[in-house]
Amino acid sequence: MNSLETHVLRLIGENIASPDVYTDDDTGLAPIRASLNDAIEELCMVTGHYRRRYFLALQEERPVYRLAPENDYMGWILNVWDRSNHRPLEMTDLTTLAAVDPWFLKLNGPVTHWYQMGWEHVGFYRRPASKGTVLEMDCMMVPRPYTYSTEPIKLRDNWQRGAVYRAVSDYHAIRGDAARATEYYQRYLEIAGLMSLNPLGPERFWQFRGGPNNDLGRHINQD
Amino acid sequence: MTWADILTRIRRYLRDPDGDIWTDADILTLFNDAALEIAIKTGLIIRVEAHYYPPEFDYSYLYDWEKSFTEGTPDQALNVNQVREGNVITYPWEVAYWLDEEPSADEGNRFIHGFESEYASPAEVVKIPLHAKFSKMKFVGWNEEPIDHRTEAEIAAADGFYRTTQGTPAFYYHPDQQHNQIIIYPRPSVTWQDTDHTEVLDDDGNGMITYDEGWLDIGDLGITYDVIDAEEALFCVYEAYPVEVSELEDEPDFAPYITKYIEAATLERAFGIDSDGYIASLRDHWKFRKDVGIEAIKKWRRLGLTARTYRLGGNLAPKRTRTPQLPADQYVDKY
Repeated sequence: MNSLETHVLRLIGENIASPDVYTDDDTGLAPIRASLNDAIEELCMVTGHYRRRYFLALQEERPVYRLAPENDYMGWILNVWDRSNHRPLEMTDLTTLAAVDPWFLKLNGPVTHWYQMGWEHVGFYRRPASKGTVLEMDCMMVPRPYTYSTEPIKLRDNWQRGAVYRAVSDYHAIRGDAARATEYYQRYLEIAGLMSLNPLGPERFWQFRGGPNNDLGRHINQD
Repeated sequence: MTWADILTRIRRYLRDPDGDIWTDADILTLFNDAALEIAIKTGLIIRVEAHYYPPEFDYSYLYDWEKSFTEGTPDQALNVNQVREGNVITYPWEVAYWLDEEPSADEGNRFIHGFESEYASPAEVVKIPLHAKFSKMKFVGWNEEPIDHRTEAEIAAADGFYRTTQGTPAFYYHPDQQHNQIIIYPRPSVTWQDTDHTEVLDDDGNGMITYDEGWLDIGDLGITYDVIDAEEALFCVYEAYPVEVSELEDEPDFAPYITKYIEAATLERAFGIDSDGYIASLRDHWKFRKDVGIEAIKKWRRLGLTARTYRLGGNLAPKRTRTPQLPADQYVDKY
């Protein structure tokens, strides 16, 4: 049981020393781990803080590649560095390339641009005439779920408490207590700094005095 | 993550492990419904494919009613499909024949399937079936060159023989929305292919960079990749609807880390059904989670543009030298 799982059990009132429902083994902790993994994935998505560097060996006269990382889920490419030529590649898109150079898929030459299609396909312009070009790609990734207690948690410490709250929210939702589930979920959004994702937030109307309800009342009285 | 895994998670949240209120079929329907909602609201499923020409298909059918019995990518055979008294009309002159009038001339040969058009001078266009879940086209290229969209009316106005004109494709159009096909104009000469456009370079699961300590059960693995070859093929990039899951081993089209938002939308629907399982507060809670999730996905998509440099014109910013220097032609280097 890692520290996050211990914290979750403490908040839901489980006995930490000898838990009886969520026992300290892979089967017993599976629901808690699933909830924590959901939170870790979501926090990595919205913050984009988990990054990995991959090397991609380009193939001869091949511009488009489908990427399949083994250890993480593919996200977005942030930087591409041409190691042999000591220069960064610039990001572009299909529409721009098609307008600037209609032969962008078939011309060989130095690789100067990259474009991403969806999250798992990437193209390079121009395509290399021969093998041998190795590109360094900095990618924004989502870590695969951790499955055992000693596995590293790929989340910064200051967001880990937020992940705990989201797992506690899941626990209350499973128990059918929507009020407490929503309370902890909002607490998770606040701790992780994600309140801007709350779609109801922008609907708040901030002002010093009066308000829409007063206006509404005046109109009703006038009618 | 398979449908079996997802079903277990959803049943845990529903507190209905034995299916006393919601059957597996109920949850499956709600999940596919929710997946469609998330896909439409986020546009997250992008497919990149190279299609053969002449087109390939899984099933060929003749009558409209037969389509519902096909699987995969179906293709409607023949060029003319009007039916009169149970008889399918294949050639335009048959219409005149049924009215006891003089036969009408045709311009070339009629064909049943698209690939047959390459053995004769076809009288009709060759329709290319698209993926059954095609939604919006983002890019089309033929033989590694982009081709543009035009309406059939625009092409017909410019070329009265557009159905039989042969050449290098420059445009494409959709004949209608119902049949989910595109037609490229002019019709290319045949490019028979027997190789797969997606070349799997490393399918043993090890990745290009591998570090694996088997005795510790710990490993750091790199990245595997495939190459997509667009030469003499129809290269398509498009937004797609999700393929419905149906079997326990099926996996949704979404990345696994998106699945929890589809689960939230499924739970919103399940708790909202007017049955013994109706709980308004939990329906609202899961709707709240779904809405937050959709915003999270949108923010995630915006992060994909982090590296983009926007500018009105010109090229990359001028490179800076490593150390500041004065212009050599304006300053003497010795006194």
